[in-house]
Amino acid sequence: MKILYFAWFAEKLGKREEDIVASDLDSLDKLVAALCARDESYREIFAQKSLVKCAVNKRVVEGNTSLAPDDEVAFFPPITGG
Amino acid sequence: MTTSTTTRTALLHDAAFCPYETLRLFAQEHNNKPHRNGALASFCGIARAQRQEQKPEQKPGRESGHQEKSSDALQSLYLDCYPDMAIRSLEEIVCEAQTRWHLDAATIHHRIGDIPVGETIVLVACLSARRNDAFDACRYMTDMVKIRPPLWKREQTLGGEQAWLDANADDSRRAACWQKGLSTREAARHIS
Repeated sequence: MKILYFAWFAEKLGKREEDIVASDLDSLDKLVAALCARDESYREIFAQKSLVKCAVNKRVVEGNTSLAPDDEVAFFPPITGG
Repeated sequence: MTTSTTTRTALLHDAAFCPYETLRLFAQEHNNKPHRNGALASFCGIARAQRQEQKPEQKPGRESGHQEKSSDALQSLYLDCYPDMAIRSLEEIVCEAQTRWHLDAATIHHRIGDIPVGETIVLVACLSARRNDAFDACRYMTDMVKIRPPLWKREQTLGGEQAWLDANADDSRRAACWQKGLSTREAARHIS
């Protein structure tokens, strides 16, 4: 599973993308929980749920959703536009 | 990421582009004989030196009406972008405008990455037989570009300060007017 981060999320984590191999991460909630278990920088990003937007395979999703191992998941703050 | 083709309806540029030349090529490509288009409307957004005002509730410590020091002036903007999603979003905006108004062609060119003050951020253009369709469609596309494509702005001042911007509530209100089907005149009241 490919995970992408944008704007200050990427700055906070010091990376724009990473690959995760874990067959049990079959939902967005499970993925977020696994990331938050890693360290404080992830927990800071996901602390305010209303300020975390997500896209799965380049489509914005709301709430929990199922994930497949080859999905591309992007996390980003609210869009500020062009 | 910049490409010379003019057949796509939306393009991202990771380096400076000339809006006048882009507009000339767009008009040349789409307004050949029999010259049925009587109107070419365009909007060009340029990076300005003034910082974007942030509402106090959005950015504690930066109050509205705050007096700027010379070091507060902007040196540049940085636009982070999710390229595949952004291109699709811009193409959808163009497609919606073409469905809603009588247009022969429309295009959006958007800069990403580092943008020094004074350089072009975005060019929106459309060709139509009549000026009302061209004006309305151009305003609609410009308003949608402000809220829909996955882009994030970071300001950099001459003094070296960097800050990510929050979403602009006025931009959301303008877009909501279109989505409610209000007329251009009503939507324009929300534009400062």
